[in-house]
Amino acid sequence: VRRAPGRRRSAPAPLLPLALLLAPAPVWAHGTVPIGDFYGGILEPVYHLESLLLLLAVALAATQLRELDRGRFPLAFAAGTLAGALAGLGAVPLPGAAWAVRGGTLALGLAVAARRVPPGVAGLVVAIGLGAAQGHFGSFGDRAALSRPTLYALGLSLAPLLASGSALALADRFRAFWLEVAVRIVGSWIATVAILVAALALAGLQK
Amino acid sequence: VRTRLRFAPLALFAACLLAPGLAHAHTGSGGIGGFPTGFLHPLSGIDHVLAMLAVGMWGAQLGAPAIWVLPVAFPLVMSLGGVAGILGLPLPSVEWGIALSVIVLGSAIAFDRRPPLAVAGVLVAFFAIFHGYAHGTELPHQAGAVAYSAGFVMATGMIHLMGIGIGLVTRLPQGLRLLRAGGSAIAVTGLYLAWRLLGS
Repeated sequence: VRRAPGRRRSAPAPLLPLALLLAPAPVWAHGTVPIGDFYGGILEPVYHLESLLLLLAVALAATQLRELDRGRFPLAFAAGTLAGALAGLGAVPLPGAAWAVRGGTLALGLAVAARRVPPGVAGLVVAIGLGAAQGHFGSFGDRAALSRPTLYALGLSLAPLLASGSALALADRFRAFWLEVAVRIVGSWIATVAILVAALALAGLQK
Repeated sequence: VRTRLRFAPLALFAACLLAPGLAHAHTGSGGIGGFPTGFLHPLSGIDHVLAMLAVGMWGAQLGAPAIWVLPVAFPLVMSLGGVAGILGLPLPSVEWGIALSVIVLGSAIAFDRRPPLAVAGVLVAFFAIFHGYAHGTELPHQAGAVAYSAGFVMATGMIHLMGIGIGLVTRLPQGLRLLRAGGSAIAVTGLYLAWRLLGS
């Protein structure tokens, strides 16, 4: 095999993972992630299904909006989350935040299923309100255990942007009828689980 | 050189198998429950699986908008049945309702019944209550009830999607006949389930 002058021959790509397998010591996956830090804030929805459902609903709702609303809706939600989280960290009470999260998840899930997500100012108001409830819900109860509360709040508000950004990228990549239908079906799943979560809370089986 | 390169991924895979001791992630320390149990619950009963497959198949047979309206309506109304189950509200003849759903939905496919969307939606929603109730009554006994509910909703939706996938066979020549034959098989199985209920 003749090589072009001046070009170095690189190692075959399949050999690289093999080489990595021979050096497992530097791998620190599943190590000690500080809880209550910036990363802890980002991961909060992963550990709390109720938060995750609302996050997914916001992301799916953003894909159904048009033009500037697509970005503004998750941004407003993130801003509301930050404000709510800071209020929660400051021990400001927000009665009914948990029920606002459950009710908001149900309403937004139904809106996605019916493809009736409110656009414009109404949508922004909804997003800020739901975000504030989500931020407070995710921080108020755990505030004493957080090692870096401000960074935690920032992480908490970044999570919806990551989820919505990914959803919007996928929606723009696959502009297809089946994807629109899939979004509506998943919206109905979110609403379904939200109803069950509310019932569990009513029955005293969900804290 | 080409031949050797073609087997390189296989060799790499074999090399990875030779070093299984390096994998320590997810060692199975967690208990069974929550999401996995909820996900498996609809799959554990042939009656649930057939009814939900039939919902997707019938939706595909009816075409748009039923193809997505029925799979959207079913879980939403199913959750209301689930709520009744969680709260311990009485619902008579749950098993009969489930068996009847298999018979009726299978027959609708078999006889190629095409009612108005509202009628189809109400029919599917009616049967969804019985399925939801059956899931809901078992839900509070699980350790992770919220994750359990998410699991069974997702599994239900996926069976619907499978049904839609099967229903798309109508696009093939003789596809409608195949689909109707599938509907007949579902209805006959429903009759067998009802017969067993009579005997119990």
